Amino acid sequence: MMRALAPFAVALCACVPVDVPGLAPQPAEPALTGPERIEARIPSRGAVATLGPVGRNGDTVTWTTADGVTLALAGGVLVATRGLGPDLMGAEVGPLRAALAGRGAAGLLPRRHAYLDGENRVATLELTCRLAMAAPAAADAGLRRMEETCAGAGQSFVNSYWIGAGGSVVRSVQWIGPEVGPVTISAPLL
Amino acid sequence: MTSGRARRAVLGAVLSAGLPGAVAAEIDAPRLAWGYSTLGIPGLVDMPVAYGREDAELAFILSHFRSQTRMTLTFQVTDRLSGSFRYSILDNIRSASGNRVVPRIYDRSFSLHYRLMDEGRVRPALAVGINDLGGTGIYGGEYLVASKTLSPRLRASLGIGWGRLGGDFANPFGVLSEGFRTRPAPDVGQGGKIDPKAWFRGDAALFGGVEWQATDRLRLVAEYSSDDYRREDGTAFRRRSPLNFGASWQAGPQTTVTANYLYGSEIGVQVSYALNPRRAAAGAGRDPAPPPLRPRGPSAAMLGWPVVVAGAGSGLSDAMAREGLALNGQSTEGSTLRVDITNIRYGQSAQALGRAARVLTQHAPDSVDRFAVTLTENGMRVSTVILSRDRLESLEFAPDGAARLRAGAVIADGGPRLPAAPGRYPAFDLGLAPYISTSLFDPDQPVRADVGLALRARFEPAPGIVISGRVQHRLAGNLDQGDRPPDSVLPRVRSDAYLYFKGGATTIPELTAAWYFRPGQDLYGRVTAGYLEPMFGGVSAELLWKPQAGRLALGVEVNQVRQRDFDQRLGFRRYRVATGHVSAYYDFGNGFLGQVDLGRYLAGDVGATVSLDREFANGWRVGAFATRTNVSSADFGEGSFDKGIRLTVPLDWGTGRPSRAQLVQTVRPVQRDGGARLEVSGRLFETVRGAQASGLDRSWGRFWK
Repeated sequence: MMRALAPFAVALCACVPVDVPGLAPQPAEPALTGPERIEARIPSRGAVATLGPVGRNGDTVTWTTADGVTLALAGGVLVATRGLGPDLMGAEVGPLRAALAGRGAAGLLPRRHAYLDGENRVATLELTCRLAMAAPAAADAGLRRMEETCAGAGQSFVNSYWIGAGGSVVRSVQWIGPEVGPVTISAPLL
Repeated sequence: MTSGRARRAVLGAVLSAGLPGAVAAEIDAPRLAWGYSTLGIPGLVDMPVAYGREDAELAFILSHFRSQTRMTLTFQVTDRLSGSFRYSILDNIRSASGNRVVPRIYDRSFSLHYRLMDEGRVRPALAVGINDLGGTGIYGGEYLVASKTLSPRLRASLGIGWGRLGGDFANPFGVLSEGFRTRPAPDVGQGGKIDPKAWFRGDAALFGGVEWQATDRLRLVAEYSSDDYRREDGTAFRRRSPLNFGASWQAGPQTTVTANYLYGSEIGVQVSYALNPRRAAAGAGRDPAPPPLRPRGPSAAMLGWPVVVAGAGSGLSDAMAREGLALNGQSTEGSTLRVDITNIRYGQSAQALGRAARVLTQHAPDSVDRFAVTLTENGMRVSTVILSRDRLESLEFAPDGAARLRAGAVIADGGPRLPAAPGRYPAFDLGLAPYISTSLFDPDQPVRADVGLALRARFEPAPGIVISGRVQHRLAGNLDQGDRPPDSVLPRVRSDAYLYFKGGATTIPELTAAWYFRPGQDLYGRVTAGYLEPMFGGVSAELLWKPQAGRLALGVEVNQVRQRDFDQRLGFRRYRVATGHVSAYYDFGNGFLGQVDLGRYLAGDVGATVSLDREFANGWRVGAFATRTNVSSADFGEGSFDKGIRLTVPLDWGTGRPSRAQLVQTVRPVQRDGGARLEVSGRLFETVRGAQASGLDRSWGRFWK
């Protein structure tokens, strides 16, 4: 026990730096590299945004909003997000892309996602998917619709891809991750 | 969405237990306690249970019933061990001898709760606990408790208690040794000592109870308490019955509100707030997206990238600055582009490195195929990371991109001095920000605080030379209302704190010139002179040996200081002292960091400090420390020796915005003059470790964030 007459107790350095000195200006609006635009909707955030291209690495194009959220699409398939918080850090979607293009064997398609956990470790989510042609619906507007049904490690989702006449993905609903859920992407609006 | 995740974790035991399949699967897994007791221990109402909480959970429990208020901070140190610090306000309690009633006392206690055995299909979980390590405090009591899950929603616990939790029958341990039969009378002295002489001694008693998780949010508890409240019964309240009942409501993902009916006479309320440092409030962080990579080759030209020649103008500096990085210098050697940067914005250096690499791909000519990025802290070139441009380009979107990039990267100690980036030096930075400073557990008032404005300035005329200071102006607060003439027989190096708080509204807590340098491989040096901290000024010199990836680091620090005037302006008082320490730091590799400091303290006393911290890759730290010096307990005064707990909370953990700022709080039961250390900004271990190979590796996943 400590007696009632305790002397002064002091926390010496309990200063909360509310602001840190920064010699950095805030990011300017990103410089777009082309006139193409896509539209993305994330229902879980109630967010709708128009994105333009800021970078291309191989056949993966990085699209950005004006306020610093990016989506990276490889042949229309989402492989990464940034600026959303629980981002999709990277994805391995090779088998799916081959199947969408009509190449490769049908059947089970492995898919791998990476996320960052609260201790800055990369958490990998292994998924197994099936790709099937969906029954035509009025909303398809004449486009071919493929459905990718995925499950693994307690997660499951269905991604949809609407394929245009040229064989490219013109519209899609793709799952970002357990926290963010799906994003709807309408491709290129010129 | 993060709140949903946190809630799942809090309710995890309940929800998973509700699934028939999960019961069989988890039958041998350790189970989590459903709630905290009024003492802030995993438990029922007043009594403990044998379970623990989720590993790393940090909880604040505020509990009140007639004449008793208990505030407890409990940390689940490991899967099996939890530790608590408790501050209690007790009114109308009998004195230890029992012959008078004290209107109000303040009691501080440290507790430990350790799960000896996990629950099995048949066997119960078993735990042992000590409610006051001093063994002589108001809550001095020990227990052994067993708990069993009877159905997914029903649990029962049965335990035996000693000390405050005992008293009904002769101690069964008496068969082992006669010494267990009687509990030594409290030898309070200056208190605060760890005193195992009383533990598990004297008459024992049984306690127990059941808890029923009625719904996912509502939990009902009934218990038989063996705490007879001998010092409170009849003065603070009437203890009419040993039975307690409680109803807990999970009000939110982290908050539980409890109403108790206690001892047949009292209504109590309790609020528990629990968080887990491992799960950031903001997930991995809502950092704005980084710039994309620019691969070399024709695709870049097609996209119309400006081809910028490295070294031409300030384009690279500006691009780095937009990412929160200061470009200190650059040079090109053949196909290697070298840059020297300082991380301004990111809690983890790996993220700064990743952003720098992205910027470099955009600005380096295609002839460059390697980047050598030197990370500099306070002018000290800490480490250099060599990255292959090919690998960067091929791994930008790969799910295992971070690990594969690390496998091909080389991290070396130090780095060459590069031609300074134009306009980098001299650098001047000024900032005005609000501040809050607190004093916790003053016996007159548990919390005192001042708020005001702090003007900070920092001037770097050349690499490694930092002139910095802070002027504070208090706008409001009550820190100056403490009035406790110290009874210390030692030089009043800390117990005069209240005089400094009274010293004036506008103060200069810190004004120093510092020189940081690298004397050699794995070595770091610092010399700081000026007004080092609010109470002392002088000269401080430090040398640290810390290999890039080693577990052990060694340091030595010597200081010649003089006590400052109470007004915290430019004058000094008469007291001078030479103080310094030899320090060893050891990273146990499982998230625990130990530190031992041997040396001479501010009051001239000689001794050692032992610290143990659990740290998380996101920057959270929870730790405890204790110092013994050649000052006797009687001379030290209340508490017998210096000890306390400390918390470091990175600001970005809560806000989700990238920042290196952190909130540091040390809590001592009592601050006296023995075992007191000088506070100096820029101590080397904390300054350099994040940018070393081991620090980069701890958070390497953030490279691509």
